[in-house]
Amino acid sequence: MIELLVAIGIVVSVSTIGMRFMQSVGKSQKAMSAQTNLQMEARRVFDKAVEQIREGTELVRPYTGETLSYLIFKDIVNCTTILYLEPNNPASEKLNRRVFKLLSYRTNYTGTYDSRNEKVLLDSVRGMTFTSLSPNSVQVNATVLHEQDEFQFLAHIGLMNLGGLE
Amino acid sequence: MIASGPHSPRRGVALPIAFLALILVIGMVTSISTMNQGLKSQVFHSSNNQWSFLLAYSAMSRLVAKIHAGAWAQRPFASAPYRETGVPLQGGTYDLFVENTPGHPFQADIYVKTSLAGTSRLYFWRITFNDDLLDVSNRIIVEFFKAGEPGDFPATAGPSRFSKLVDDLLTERAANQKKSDEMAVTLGPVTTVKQALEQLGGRQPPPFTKSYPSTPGDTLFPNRPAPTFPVVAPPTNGEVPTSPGPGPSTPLPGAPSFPTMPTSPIPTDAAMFDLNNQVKTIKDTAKLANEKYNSGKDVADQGTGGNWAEANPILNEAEEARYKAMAGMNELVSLASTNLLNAPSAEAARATEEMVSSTMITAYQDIVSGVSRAFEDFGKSKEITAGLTTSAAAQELLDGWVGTLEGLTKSQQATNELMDKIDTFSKTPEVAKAQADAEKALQDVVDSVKQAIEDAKAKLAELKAKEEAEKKAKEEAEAAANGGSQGGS
Repeated sequence: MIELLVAIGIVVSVSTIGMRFMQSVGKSQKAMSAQTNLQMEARRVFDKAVEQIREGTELVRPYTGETLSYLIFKDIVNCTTILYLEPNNPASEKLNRRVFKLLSYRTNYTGTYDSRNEKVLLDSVRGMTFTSLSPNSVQVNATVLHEQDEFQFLAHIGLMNLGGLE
Repeated sequence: MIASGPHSPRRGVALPIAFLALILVIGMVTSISTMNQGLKSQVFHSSNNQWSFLLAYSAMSRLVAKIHAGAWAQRPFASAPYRETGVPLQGGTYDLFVENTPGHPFQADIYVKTSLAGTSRLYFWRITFNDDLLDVSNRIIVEFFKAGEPGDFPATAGPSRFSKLVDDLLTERAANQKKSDEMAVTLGPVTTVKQALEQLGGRQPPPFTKSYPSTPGDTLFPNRPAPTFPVVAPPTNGEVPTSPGPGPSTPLPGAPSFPTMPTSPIPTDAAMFDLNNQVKTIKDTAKLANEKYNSGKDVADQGTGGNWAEANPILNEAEEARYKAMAGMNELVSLASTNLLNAPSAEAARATEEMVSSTMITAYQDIVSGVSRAFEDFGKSKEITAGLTTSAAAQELLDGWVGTLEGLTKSQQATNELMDKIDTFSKTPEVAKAQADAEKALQDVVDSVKQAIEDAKAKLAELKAKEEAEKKAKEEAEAAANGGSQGGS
């Protein structure tokens, strides 16, 4: 009988410690996972934007030395493309703060809107700026949101199709 | 193990349960560790894209360096595609394929397939080689860059689906060039996203449906115009090209004009002109010295016993001419050194050096020849000293010759120092031999004078001994005579 009581005592103690430990680990794991997902999402989007800008032929705006909240450049086939922020109302209401979406729009020079040329690159952005430090490169400074977490990154992207410049 | 009694061994449950708990704890730790590894792996994969591009760009840069290293005709893919397979770099590997762009001279297609952490990516560059001898800094221009699918990495040379896609994109790019340029001009003055989207035909972004409390940091991203360049003031009157100068101290008499040409002709090679004059002066004075030495000696040889009284003035003129020639040679070396600094070519410098050395050694030869002639009597020193009858005459002759040797030695030293100045000058073999012969001839003269002095010293000693002996004999004879007369009386 005593033996059984001792065994039950050990099991209860170990289980309690284990449960507490698991709860703590789970909590931190969740926060860490959320932060990691946020960073990964930002990097994924950033990679897409980098690829698009890198294949560009010319930087239209900002001018060298200028900082803007949007970027206009000519893409790989000289179609003028803009990256800009648009209010994300559902996300703003959910987080009770101003949240933006990062969009790209590529004109086909018809003068009319074509929804197929518009893409949402990132859903939750707090802010983004583009600074041209030279005629063939742009520096991107962005802050992305995920619930209460933020992640800011800075990137420098060079255009690689400048051979098209006359 | 816990036993309940000495005769009925029973197995307890506490120890197995403790073991079970331990296994559970180990399991938990392992699973947490695995989850962390998964997170790390995810983060790594998200940066894999950037690393792949850097890897490919490095491979492309290596190839561009090879193209830069030689002429376009010597490029590694001139006759057949150039390949590299499985080259390790930056923790991954890359495959490279380069070929001449079909139908486009001076262009090349570069394919780089990277493999990093199990992921393959393809990057493509089409470059143009700008064959410009005057501008080596901008020889290679990237005409086209695109990321592609790894399956598009070519296995054989020639046109492929991907190269056709590139051609199509380049055609489309060229077709859009004018429209994009016009659009860029239109977008120049825009200041807001709305204005830009209006020009591009895009959809106007909706506003926020409600106002939200301001969050710290929301105003971190304002638009900032490019910094303006400082205004450069136009040049003042004193800075314009037609300005008369930096102040009233240098007023021009009239309108600015080019200086007038001088009336006398300007020698274009003034330095060489001076050099030629100096050469002529040296040759003339050295020749004069030679003539004077010879004529002086000729005069001295007239009559028995040497007509030195008439010869000496002529020989003095010879010495003056020699001094002038040596001073001229010194000046010639200085002029030549200046001239050599501005020589237009190595050949011209060598020609100048040979001219100078030839002139100086010819003059040296003339002088030495004259001196040898003037001092030739020292070779007959034994005959001269043999005619001496008294020690006083011998002493006088010896003193004169010692003085002559002193002057001659100084002249020889000065001449040698002068010749040392042209040691580094270029000389023809004939000139070098003439210099050596002249130096030997001068040394022979000095040696003959030294020998004559020795002869004179010997003669002086001989005469002194003879005179002493005669004096002693005379004294003895006088003493004997005095002794005989005293004894007889």
